[in-house]
Amino acid sequence: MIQTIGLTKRFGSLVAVGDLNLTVGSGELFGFLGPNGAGKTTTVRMLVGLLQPTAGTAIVAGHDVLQEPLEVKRAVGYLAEVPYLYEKLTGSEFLRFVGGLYGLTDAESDERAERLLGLFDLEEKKDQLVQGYSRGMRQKLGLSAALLHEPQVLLLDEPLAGFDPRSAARAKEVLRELCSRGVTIMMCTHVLEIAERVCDRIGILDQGRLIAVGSMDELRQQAHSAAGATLEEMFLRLTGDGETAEAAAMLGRAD
Amino acid sequence: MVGKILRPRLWVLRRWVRESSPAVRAGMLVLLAALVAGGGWLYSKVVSALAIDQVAAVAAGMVPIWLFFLVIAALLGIGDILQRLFLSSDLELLMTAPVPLRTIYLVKLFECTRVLWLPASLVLVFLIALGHGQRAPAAFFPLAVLLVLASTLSVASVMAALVMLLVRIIPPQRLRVWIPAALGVVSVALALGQQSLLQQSVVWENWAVIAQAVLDTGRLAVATVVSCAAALVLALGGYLIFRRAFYYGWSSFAQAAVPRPSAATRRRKGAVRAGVGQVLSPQWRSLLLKEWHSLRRDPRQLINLVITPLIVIGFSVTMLKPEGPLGILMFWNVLFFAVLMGSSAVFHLGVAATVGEGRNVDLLRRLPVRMRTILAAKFWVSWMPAWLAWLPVLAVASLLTELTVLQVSILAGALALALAEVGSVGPAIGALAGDFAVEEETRRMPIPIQLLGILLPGVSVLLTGLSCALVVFTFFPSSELAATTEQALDVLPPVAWVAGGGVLPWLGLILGHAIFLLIVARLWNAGALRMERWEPA
Repeated sequence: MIQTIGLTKRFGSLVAVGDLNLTVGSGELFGFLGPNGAGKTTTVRMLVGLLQPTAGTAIVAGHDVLQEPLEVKRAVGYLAEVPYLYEKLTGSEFLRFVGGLYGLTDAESDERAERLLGLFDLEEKKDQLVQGYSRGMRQKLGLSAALLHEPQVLLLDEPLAGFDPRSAARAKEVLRELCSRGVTIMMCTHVLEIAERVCDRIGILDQGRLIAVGSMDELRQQAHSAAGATLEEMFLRLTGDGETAEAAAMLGRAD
Repeated sequence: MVGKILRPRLWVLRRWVRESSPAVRAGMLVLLAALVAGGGWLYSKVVSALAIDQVAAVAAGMVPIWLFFLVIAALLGIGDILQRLFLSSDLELLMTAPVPLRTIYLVKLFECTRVLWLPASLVLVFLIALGHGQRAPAAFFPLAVLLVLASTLSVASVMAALVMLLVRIIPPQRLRVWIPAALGVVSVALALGQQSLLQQSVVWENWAVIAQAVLDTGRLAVATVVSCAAALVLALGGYLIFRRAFYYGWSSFAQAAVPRPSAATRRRKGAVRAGVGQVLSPQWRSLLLKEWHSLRRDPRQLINLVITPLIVIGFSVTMLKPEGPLGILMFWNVLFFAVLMGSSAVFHLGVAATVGEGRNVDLLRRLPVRMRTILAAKFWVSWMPAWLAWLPVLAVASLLTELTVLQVSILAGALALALAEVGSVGPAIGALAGDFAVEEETRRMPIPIQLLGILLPGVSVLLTGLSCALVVFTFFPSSELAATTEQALDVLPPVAWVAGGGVLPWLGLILGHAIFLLIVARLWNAGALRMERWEPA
């Protein structure tokens, strides 16, 4: 459902993403991990058509992101880390607006919005201006907007940031349910516990390069870790846990 | 699809109308009616009493004024056009939805026309009044509307294409710095071109023919069809450029890293910082640096900073050319224009710097710094760069027009004073009127604040003009500037007292500045208090 072939993005001399080859199957929940600045968001932004790759290409839902950008966008739901929301619209107006962009009628948008807002406990806030929403509420509204047109592929950048525990649990259930219906989800997150519990497979990106990919067991093999090793332990090992010791030493010196 | 994208603006407008008080709604209606109906009625009365050749004479007088306003509006709107085309935050949403690029272009082009709505409305009101006054056939009116719409679309397409071409040409790492300079040069070229067109239009003999042709519906129809075709071709040309330039420009503005300065530059900057560090407290230094970086990395504000002096001088060069008394009297005209435009620009810069904090106000409130200090940093970093931007422009203008050292010094001093006075109001008004709950950068200013932005520079023009005149008469009484101005004032009894000397004008002047500063101090107190206590609704 998602395939990148030599996908590369350079900003001047900086290689944000280099020669990325990755395949995510239909109905799979794929966790995309990496340190800050590793290139996760840049990859997702290329997949959704917000950035043009410097080299290589990507196929999303059977469409080339460069050749058929509109078909890709129709098939994709995208949630940015900080979603853009019209501050002076109410939650329901915003969803009606987004529905319109995806070709839904107002009645269809309203019906689906009602369902999604109910799912994320936002129905009581739907007639309030977005500017009054908390961080978590904004994220929920953004996620509702990404799900509104019932996409085949969901690209989510830190989707659960700001969620309260109950909403986070609900959202995880929703994501698993979507996968069981065949929706492909690619999720960037720093919350390793969520990635470990929810994702079918995980890819770890470091300095623009995919350094490991696979299920938890496959990652353990790649990281030469023990059978019970947690994702955090493997992540630190793969991305250089020496830095952690160094940081601890520095903090010790500061004390 | 275009309608679907634009409709949130209608929803917001509808909510504003619904939620605003009846007095505000009535006031807006009265203002609108006074502008449209009053202006139309006035034109109509004048035009209906005239023969066709006299109508042509009126048109000959009006057209240069419209041209002036159209070009000024378009040039001042360049920053706005850049913002709408490449920097507006709703682009991310539009780009992730299956919206064809041509639809995004149409939406953005429509938004770009907004800077031309005012001059276009003025032309439309005049044309309708002309038709009404000269009893034109019914077909005249829809054709006039179409003609104005087509012209507006053409101008917006050209300006948008210009911005897109520059964005495509300039390397991404240099875009934020070079684009204001490049647009500034283009503005001067356009301003000078418009000057020449303006001079020719005043003496053009074919106005009568055109006025008659405008009232001849058949010819007007042909002109309208040609204008619509031109508008479509220009809009299409703009789209072709948009297709090639959009991705590039958008990702350049969004992603281009700040170029790392050379080792020598870093050493120099380090030395400057160390020097500044000895004079200023760490808090002041941090606040000033933060404001300065915010300003210099915001292409829209930089464009406004650069374009205002360039436009004023661009338009003024021809005014200052004549030798003798007329050239000297034109100097006062230029001073008036420069102070008015410059102080208006610096006012909006200060307002934007404060309102632009948005939710960061929470951060500012947590700092162990008084809110007045934060506002003061915003003031310094709006008026100082704004004034410095004028100096090289004044120097070049003095070479082109042979302004005397005294005249250039007076212009520089007048601008320093006016920009400081009006600039000091900007941050306070921003603090009083800002909606800090809003994160997006396109925050609308309430109408009373927009009116203040017109009123305060007006007051500043009066005070500064009077200050400059008194300085000239008191300290340089034998200068050519003083002598010529005094002669001119002799025929204007209401203001002749300025040249009379004595203590009274000085007292009046000091009192005027004192009252102005008193108002500013109160505004600062109120603004700082609001920011300290601000809580989202």
